[in-house]
Amino acid sequence: MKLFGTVMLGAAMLLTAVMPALAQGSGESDLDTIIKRGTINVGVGLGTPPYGFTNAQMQPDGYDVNVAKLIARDLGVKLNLVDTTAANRIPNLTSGKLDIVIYSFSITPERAKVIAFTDTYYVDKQVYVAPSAKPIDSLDGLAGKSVGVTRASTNDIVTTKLAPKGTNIQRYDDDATTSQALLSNQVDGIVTSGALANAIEQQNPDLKTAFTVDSAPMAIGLRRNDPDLLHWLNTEIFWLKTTGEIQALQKKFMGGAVDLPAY
Amino acid sequence: MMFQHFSLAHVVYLLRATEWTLLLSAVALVFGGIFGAIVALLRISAYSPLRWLARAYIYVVQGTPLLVLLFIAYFGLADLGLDLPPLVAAGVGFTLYASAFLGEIWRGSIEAVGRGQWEGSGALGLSWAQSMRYVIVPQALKVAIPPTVGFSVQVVKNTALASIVGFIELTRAGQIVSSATFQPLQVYLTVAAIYFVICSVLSYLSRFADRRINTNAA
Repeated sequence: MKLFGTVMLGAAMLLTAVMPALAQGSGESDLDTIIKRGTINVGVGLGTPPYGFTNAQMQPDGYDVNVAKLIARDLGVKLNLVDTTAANRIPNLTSGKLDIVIYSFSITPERAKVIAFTDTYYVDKQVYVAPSAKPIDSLDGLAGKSVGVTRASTNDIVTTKLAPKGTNIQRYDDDATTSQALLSNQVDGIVTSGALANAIEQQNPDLKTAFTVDSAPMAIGLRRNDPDLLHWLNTEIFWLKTTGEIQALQKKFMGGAVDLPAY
Repeated sequence: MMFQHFSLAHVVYLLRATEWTLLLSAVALVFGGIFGAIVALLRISAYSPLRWLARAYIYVVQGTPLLVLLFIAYFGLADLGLDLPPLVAAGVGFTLYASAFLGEIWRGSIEAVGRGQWEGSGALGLSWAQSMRYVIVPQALKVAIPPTVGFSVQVVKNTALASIVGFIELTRAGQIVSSATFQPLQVYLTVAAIYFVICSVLSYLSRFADRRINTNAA
């Protein structure tokens, strides 16, 4: 009888451990929740041009914002844009505050352990921009130079990983401050996204993209364990590629269309 | 994509965001004030368990960065199934923070009033509540005003941390405008000027209150 009691206790413990998981697993997909709710909550970053920014009418605009608009349109729901920051993208998803995050989110195996990524919706280059009077044409030339990057961005990650020993990496809080550091000669050059480099060079003709450091595929982030929503988003990305709408947005905001690899 | 020129429309956008800064400051100071008064009273209570409870509360909250308090109130409680809207989460975080500091400031102010005042009002036959109301608090107020205002100025500036729960308050709006214009210097100088005006008004009110209280006492 003692054994029976122990087995029962074990079974009860197992059940309480499994129950919440079951409850979650049997719950409906976020896809249905979003459609029923009639609103999709999308995290974007309004401080990351040309992905997300406020336009001259002080309305949210940019590549990420317009992809979000297309997604809401095709789901037939209202779009609730929530401004967030790079560091809060993952907590916003895991805590259930947001349904999806469209925020120049580069795919890494590390991040994919915590959240799920869709197929790529953009591939950005990380480029070195410097005054054209002081040419450097490769990473090796960075030794002994000071290089500005935006803290915790993809640009920071690749520069930290690839720059040669002796490179003095200066980290700033946002892209505007990073480029200001270059304009006021506090750094020799900056590593920034190819799309942003286009815009910066248009405004400052004496700055030039010297070379490409790396490139990063980017995707929409969502919670793990939701194959329905993941599949719908992949279908939507495929659809927007077929209709040419995503290429149109790339031309408008990023300076040209890019190939989008899929898994 | 071309960058915009920093213009009046951007200043208006910053001023709109200032409404959030003011609202969050008001929530923090009103609720922080109410709970801070309770904390101060518990801290000087005659019952030692209550004193220890208040002391532990202050010790834990003052030892935790405000950013972490906000993070727990918004993301942490959501993980536990308590999904608070942003304003409530920020309100909870700021109330915890402000009540711990205000409670300690006011406890100090009350204790700065000499023991003789308590003994005197006791000798006059005043109850504890009457002593508090007519003898202790009026004298403690004089001591409390400068540090209370100093802390309020801190609270106004710390509302910038509420951007982690999704508020576009003054500092976050500054970042957004700076990213759209790429003129960070002009933008942040404007942001600083707006904070300066808010904090100057607070300091002015404090001097005004100080003068009034001191005139009444004289």
